Order: sequence, then C-alpha cells, then structure tokens
Amino acid sequence: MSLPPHDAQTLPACVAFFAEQNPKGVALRQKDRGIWKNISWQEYYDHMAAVGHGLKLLGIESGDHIGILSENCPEWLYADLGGQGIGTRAVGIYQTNPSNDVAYVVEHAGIKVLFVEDQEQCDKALEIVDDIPCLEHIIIFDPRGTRHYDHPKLQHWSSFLDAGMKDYSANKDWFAEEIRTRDPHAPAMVVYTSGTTGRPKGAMLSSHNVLELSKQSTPLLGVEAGDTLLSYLPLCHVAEKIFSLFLPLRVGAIVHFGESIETVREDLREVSPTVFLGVPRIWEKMQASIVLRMQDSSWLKRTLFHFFTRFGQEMQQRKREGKSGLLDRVLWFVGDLLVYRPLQERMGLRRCKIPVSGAAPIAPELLEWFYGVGIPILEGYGQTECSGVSHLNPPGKATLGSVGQVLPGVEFKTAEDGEILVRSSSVFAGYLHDEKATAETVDEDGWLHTGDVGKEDKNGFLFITGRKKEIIITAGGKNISPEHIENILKLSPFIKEAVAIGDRRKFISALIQIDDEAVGDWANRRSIDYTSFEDLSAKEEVVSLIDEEVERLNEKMARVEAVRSFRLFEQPLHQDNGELTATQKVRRKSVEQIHAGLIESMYGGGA
Amino acid sequence: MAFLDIQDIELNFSGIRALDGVSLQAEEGQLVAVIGPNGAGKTSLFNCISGIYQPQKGHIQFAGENLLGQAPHRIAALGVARTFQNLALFDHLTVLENLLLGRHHIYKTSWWQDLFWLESAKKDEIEHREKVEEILEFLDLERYRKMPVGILPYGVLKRIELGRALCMEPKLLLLDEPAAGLNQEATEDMARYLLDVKEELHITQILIEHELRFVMDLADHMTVLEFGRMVTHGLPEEVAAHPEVIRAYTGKGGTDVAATP
Repeated sequence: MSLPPHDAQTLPACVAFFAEQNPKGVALRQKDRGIWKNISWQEYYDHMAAVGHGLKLLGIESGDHIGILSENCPEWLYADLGGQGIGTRAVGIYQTNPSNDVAYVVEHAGIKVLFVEDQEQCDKALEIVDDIPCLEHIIIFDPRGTRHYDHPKLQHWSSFLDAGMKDYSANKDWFAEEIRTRDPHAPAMVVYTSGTTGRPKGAMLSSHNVLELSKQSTPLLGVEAGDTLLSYLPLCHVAEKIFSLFLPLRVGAIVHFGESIETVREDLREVSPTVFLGVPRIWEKMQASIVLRMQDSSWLKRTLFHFFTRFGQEMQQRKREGKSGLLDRVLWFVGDLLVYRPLQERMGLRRCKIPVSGAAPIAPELLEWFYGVGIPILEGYGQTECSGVSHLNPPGKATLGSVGQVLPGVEFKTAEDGEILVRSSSVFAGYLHDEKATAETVDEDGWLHTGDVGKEDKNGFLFITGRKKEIIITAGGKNISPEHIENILKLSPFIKEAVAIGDRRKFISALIQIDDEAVGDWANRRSIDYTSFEDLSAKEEVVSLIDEEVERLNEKMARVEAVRSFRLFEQPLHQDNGELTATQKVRRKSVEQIHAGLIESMYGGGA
Repeated sequence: MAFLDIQDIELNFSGIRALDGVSLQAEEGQLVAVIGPNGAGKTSLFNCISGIYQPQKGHIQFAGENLLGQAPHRIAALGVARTFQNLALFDHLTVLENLLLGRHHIYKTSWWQDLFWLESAKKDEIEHREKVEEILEFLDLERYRKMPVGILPYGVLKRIELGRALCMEPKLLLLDEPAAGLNQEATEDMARYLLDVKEELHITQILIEHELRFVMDLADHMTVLEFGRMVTHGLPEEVAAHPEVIRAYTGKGGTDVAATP
C-alpha cells in the first residue's frame, strides 16, 4: 500500500501516521523460533504508547534521559520511540562496553531508566547501579537466568509493558496528545560518538534534524514504501538509526530483526533486503568469504569465477568511461547467469537495489570488486553531528573512491587547511553537557567543522584524504594519510587490522593483526599446527605470508607510502584495554602507546 | 517419598560388584551431582535408572512408579531422558533433524498418516517443530540449525546432545559428563545452561562428573562414589570438606590409583 508523503514532524508521529492510515500493514518483522513474524503498524504504535505510559508511571518526564543497552530488537525501537513520544531522549549504549564505560555514559547523560537486553547486560547494570544515584530503574527485556535477582530497582519488561498497556487502554488519547505537543526542534535522542580520541561525547539530535535528512535522501536513493531492510549494526550508532528509523519511518519501509548477531549471514539470505547498509568491515568479510570458498570449489567454477569477476571489473570501468559496447553486454548477461547471480544470492543481496557503505572509508579496490559482480555499492559520508550523512554517491552515477556529492539542502565548503565544513538543518543541537566542545565543533555561522580533510573534483564529488589530526608527516616532509595505507593493507584476506606508523619517521611501517580465520585456514591447508592466536602470529611461515602480502599491496601505493617494515600483533586488538572503540575502530594513540616497544623495534631501537 | 528415590542398589557382573549399596534421592526440580573417579560406577548407576542394567538388589522409584524391571523405552516414555558421555548424534543429519529425533517417542501419528501427509500429521509436525525451535533458542543454537552435525565443533555437539534430551520434554534428565573435554569458556556456558534448565524449565537433573569444581556451584547436593560404594553424600560444601574426598581429589594423605583419571 503506497501512501502520499506525510508531514509528520517527529519519529513517533510518523508511526502514528502509518498506524492510522495502514494499521494492518507490516512495519517490522522479527525472526522468532525460526519463523519471521509480522508486526503491524498498529502493534508498533501500541507498544510505543505502552512504553510512553509505562515511563510516565515511573515518574519520567519530558527532558529526562533513558538508556538502552541491547542488541537490535523491536523492543529497542519501542523504548526509544515511546520515550521520544513523551519527550525523553534515548541514549544507546554498546553491549560490548565494559561496565565502567557503561557507568560513564549513564552518569554523564543522567540516565534515569536503563533498558537492558539480558542477564549479561543486567549484571553490568547491577554492578554500577548502587554508585549512580540518578539511575532509578533497570528494565530487562529477557529475564532468563535472573529469576533469583531481587534488586529493588530491577523489573521485567513484560510487567513494565503490562502496566503501561493498562494505563494506555484506560486513556487512549493521552499519548497521542503527548506526541502532538512535542517540539520538533528539541533534542530527541543522544548519540554518543565512539571517539577515537578522548572520552565519548553525546551528540543531541532533534526530530527536525533527522527527518530533514530523510526527506532529502529518500528520493535521492529511491527508498520507497515496501522496501525491506535488515537491522543488524548497533542501533547506538547513527548509521543504523538512519536505516532502522529515519528512512523507513519516512516512507513506511519494513525493518527486519534477525535472530542474533551471529546469524546475520543467514538472516540476510532469508530477508534479501532491498536496501542494505554495510560498514567496510562487513563488505571485506563478505568478499573474503567468497574468495576463500572459491579455493575449495571445482576447477570449472574457479575458472569461471576468476574470468567473470575480472571481466566484470573491466567492463564496469569501461561503462563508467562510456566505452562499453555490445560484446560487453552479451558477456555480462552470460556472467550474470553463471556467476553474478549465484554470488549475489549467496550474499543475500540479490534483490538489493540500494547497497550502501558508510561509517568508515572503504577501499576503492573493494568497491570495484563488488561493482564487478553487479553490486554497485554507494559510498556515503557524514558525521553523527549532521545526523549521519552529508555526502552520498547517487545511484547509477557513483564515482569510485569518492564519498559522493553533497545532499540537496546541505551547504558545503572546504576551509583553507582543507577541512570539510557543512551547514544544514540536519546539523545537531550540540553535545550534551559540553558547551565547550559544541562551540569548537560548530562555529558562529553554523558551519560544522568535521575534522576531516578532503578535496572536491569538478563534478562536485568529494574525496576524503584523512583525519585532520591523524595526518602523518614523514621525516621527509610528506603528508600521508595513515587510513589510506591501512585500507590498502586490509585488502588482503589475511590482514584483519592494520595501523600505519610513520609520523616524523624515516619510513612508513605498520602493525598488523592477522585474520585468524583466514590465516588459520591457510595454515591448516599446509599442515602447519598451531595452538592459539599468539602461536599462529609467531609462525615463521605466517610472517612470510604477510610479508608477501605487504609486498604485493605496496604496488598499489605511492612510493612514499610503501610499508617498509611491519610487526604482527601477538594478541587481537581489544576494546577492553582501549585499543578499539565500541564501533571496533582502532584508537591509534593508545595502540601506539601500548605497543611502543614493538614500534621501536622496527626503527632499530627498543625491544 | 522423594521424586526420584534410589535405595540400596546392588549390581553384580559375574562376580564383580559394580554398585554396592548405593542410595540417592532427588526432589522435584533439584540438580543432584554424582561424582567420583573413573570406574566408580557412575555410568552404571545411570544404566540402572534407565533400565539398561537390572540391579540384583534395591529399588528405584520415580514419580511414584517403580522403574525396576521396566524396559528402557518404557522408562523413557515415563519422562526420563539422558545424554551420553560419548555423543549419540547422527552426523549426517542437521541439528534440527537430530533434535526432532529426540521427539520420536512423542510422535502421535502413525506412519500411514505421515505418508499421506494428513491434516493430523501436519499439525503434529508443526507442534514438534515449535518445541524444537524453543530448545534451539534456549541453547543459542539457532545459527547451526541447518548444518549437518558432523561438521560442528565438539563444544557445540555437547550442547546439541543436551538439546536432544530436552526435546523429549523430560521430567528427569540424566547428564553423563556434559562438560567433559570442553575448554574453560564452553564449560562455563554449559554450567549456565544447566542452571537455566533448572530455573526456567524446572527439570530434575542428575549430573555425573569427575570434576568436583564444575559441580560445586551447580548442585543442590551431591553423592560421591568410589569402587561402587558411596563415600559420602550431602551439601556441596560438606562433601568438599570430607576427608576421603580431599584425599581422592587433592591426592593429600595417601596414594590412590583410582583418583587419577
């Protein structure tokens, strides 16, 4: 059922609109005990309203903060939107956060009600609850294993929802009235940025910010009612919020929730979404798993695969240059039947018309590979502080290696030092409890300083060169972006993580974390026995394997960028000791500190 | 009388006394551990309960029924399920199919109804599938659902083995070393699942282990066997403090061949 564009000013109002116009239509789907179950717009709305009533019963008021510490699930959205309906701001917290990081966010935002997923998350909350007086209630979605817990602040989602539902049926209009009185310009959610440097900061976004964004981007991308999406990246991050909330609630698309984070691959195949957001790590993994799998297949399959993936890339290149002819089209048709289609089905992207990559820079070589198998990934760019997106490659007109053109309604310029500045109605309302940081980020004229350095080409496509603060200046005075080098290194299926070093040094070096799955598989094939990650990384054969990979990839880099030396991490990088952020991005500074000895060993000093 | 009541069992194999005057009681919903070194008679005790061995003396009562002299399939139908130390799964079937097999004895329809795929057969099948899905979710096995069992790691197989037993909707679960051969993390997970079985499903469990550590926090009470005899029984703390147990498990105060597994 297709509806005219609505003019709802807040996200809960969007749900209310669809619940009224199309109450029985499917809004969400959840895989429960092996079966995809539909949740209608009416049920979506009722749950949201019950949460609003439930929070009211707990004494929560407009302007209060609530926290959500859970994997993606419909309850996540109910809690978030139900809270927004009565004016609270939800803060998503990563489940991978250790309890002290959870404590920081809860205390900093002044969270009064914390929704937790299960026993594991509940334990973290109970560990900190007695030290944080502002935290009044903990509500657990799945109480399994917590039957004997009797903390006075802990209650089950089902009883919380029942109470809210009862109150809601006694007064059906209250929540609708609450939604109507909301100011769309008031902060509606707080998104803590992972912060590769320093403590996380809470960016406040208003309904107006995020709905302006979806108003601009839905027609550009072609997202429509009836499109299907899979919600699987953390909802605490603005990128998944765009694809689980902002876009679907604008047009009435269907959001799917799989069984768990471990079943993403199967869920993806079953849903086969029409709109899909991947972060570079996801795309890398997809490609690596196909390439590895191909090694095990028959000679014929392998040959076809190699021929057609190479042809696909060359043909896409010719197509972009406007030189592709009839022969190309015929061969593409054959390749589609034999190779591209099965590959797309395997990845669950057969029906995907809008594959998007964002949240971190993706290597152009990876994009070329995906274009070559008929998956034209659109790379986008943006900050949490501008509701997630400011630049996007338009479908059919993408420029590889560029993050795309500026969205309609967004102003953009580069400062003298090359820093990217944007200004739009999607630029955020400021950092929570941090006016100083807000003033440093948004200037008096309303320009958002992104901290990224980039160049625009003559067609208005933006190319990001790197983080302003992270640029490496070699001893020879060359400016080099470490991210660029790292992305090239990560093209190897054997390299999972890389950290490029070289600021004020004679040459560029890298610390590399092997991909234990791929390298483990490689070692097994050669009957190299190993016990642990540490043991595997220390194997001479593995070191020379990575050496060959680095040599091969150096060809893709400029001379000054070439990695002259490297060391392998003995342990995988981990969030708990500060090496990674909650979004699994490398914290360069702490890695450099923790592994200072290893780094010095490459430059002829230290251990 | 206790939910499961075993009194004074004696089991002989042509002159070898495997069990000698063993008694054990479990109330409904309890988790009772039986520990002891290899060859102490733990698995023999299980075989007596499930009707594979016939003890010469003593009696076994379960939920008011006398189990002695009953055939194994009859005992299974009464609600006694067990897991095996050496896994008893079908390698070439998927996880889902293995679990469905656990429900074989509760299939109500006959083969000809299944053959013609009658309405009753369909309904029955859906019910079984739902129960299996419940267990898949309970044990976090969803992602393996359609994989053949043969390619899965050992730790997962132990979980599937437990799942197959749970699919029988048992009233009494006999667990034969569910954590044997598992690494630290998988052992902790298994302990968690057994606690969940107790707290969420309220199924009575008898757990065989040779590791004292694994059962200390799990069991309501435990019995220690050695050479077919009961050394002691009681609360976990009492048992752990018993001099004979300390001797057998820490090797202090004497040499004992049986204590080394």
